[in-house]
Amino acid sequence: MRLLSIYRLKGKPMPEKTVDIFEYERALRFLTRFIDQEQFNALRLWRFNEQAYMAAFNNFCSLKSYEYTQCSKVCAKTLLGSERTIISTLAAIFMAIPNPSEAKGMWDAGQELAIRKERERLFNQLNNLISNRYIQVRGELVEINSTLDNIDECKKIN
Amino acid sequence: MSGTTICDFEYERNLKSLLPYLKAEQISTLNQWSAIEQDYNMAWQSFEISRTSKSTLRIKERLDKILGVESDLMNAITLIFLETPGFKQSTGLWDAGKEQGILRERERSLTTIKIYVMDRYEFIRGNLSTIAQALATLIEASGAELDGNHTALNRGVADVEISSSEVVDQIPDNNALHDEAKSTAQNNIGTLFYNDFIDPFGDDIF
Repeated sequence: MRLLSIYRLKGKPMPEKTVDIFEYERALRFLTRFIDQEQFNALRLWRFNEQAYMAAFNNFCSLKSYEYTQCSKVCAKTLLGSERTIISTLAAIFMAIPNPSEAKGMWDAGQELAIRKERERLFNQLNNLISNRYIQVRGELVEINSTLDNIDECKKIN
Repeated sequence: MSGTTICDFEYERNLKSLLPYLKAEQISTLNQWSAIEQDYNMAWQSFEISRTSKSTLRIKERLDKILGVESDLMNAITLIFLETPGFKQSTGLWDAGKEQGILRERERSLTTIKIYVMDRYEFIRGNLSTIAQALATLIEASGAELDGNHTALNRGVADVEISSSEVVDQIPDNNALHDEAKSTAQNNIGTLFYNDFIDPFGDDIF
């Protein structure tokens, strides 16, 4: 809703789907209370890597120069290199989530139940964001590599 | 977004309302970005008016600078968001929703800042190929000037281009001065804005 009003203020056409630009951060912020510092740092670092890759890849999309292509390849490799760490971190976080149905009998007006449900929902959201991103990056890396090959060939001819 | 930007302090206004909650280095990162962006805007405007060697080289330099700081800025915004407590956590407080309102406002300001930044980068990326083309033309022209092995026709074209750019180069000297002055003035106004202007919708309302 807040995003809606910003778009109206700026007199811009509305995007088809209102996207939450802090989706990842919002999920991570909620989970911060339940995870330890190391896991939090890993997830934060992942976001930094992802943002660096996103910047490089957007540059590459606008202009397929050698510099931008090389840069986005390096960033993609960094991101893909951290996949194992991030997956095992996610697995550890998942294992620590208590089952929501176990909190059913409690006499706290369903508060604990609601928190556990929310925790599971946001964890799933985070997990989806990360796995979808990896699928996307793999697809984009193919494009980056083929562009890089093309540039190399052009250089050889010259 | 059009090429010319009307400075309405959207970025500064939102940054100002966040100031009390930020760390010193976060403030300097965000302030620096604003200065870099204004430098880019100045250079872009003079580049649009006349594509001389001087203005092309200047826009290239500032372009590299602003694209270089992108991920740093995004990381800073991410950290600021993570440090802002969620407003859902304060629902139980008995203060008539005051704390919740403040947190909501903080999140809204940060969202506006991020949208503004994303908008700017979209605009800058839209101009990447134009700048690259101008730069390629420039390199070609100077290359033709350096080695005399080119065909007469090519050299003729290059000569014309160089001489025309030399003619226009008289203006950018003035332009550059004007440009610098304008950009420092805007930076100054930006700084003044935080200090002196009382925002009716800012934190004073709480």
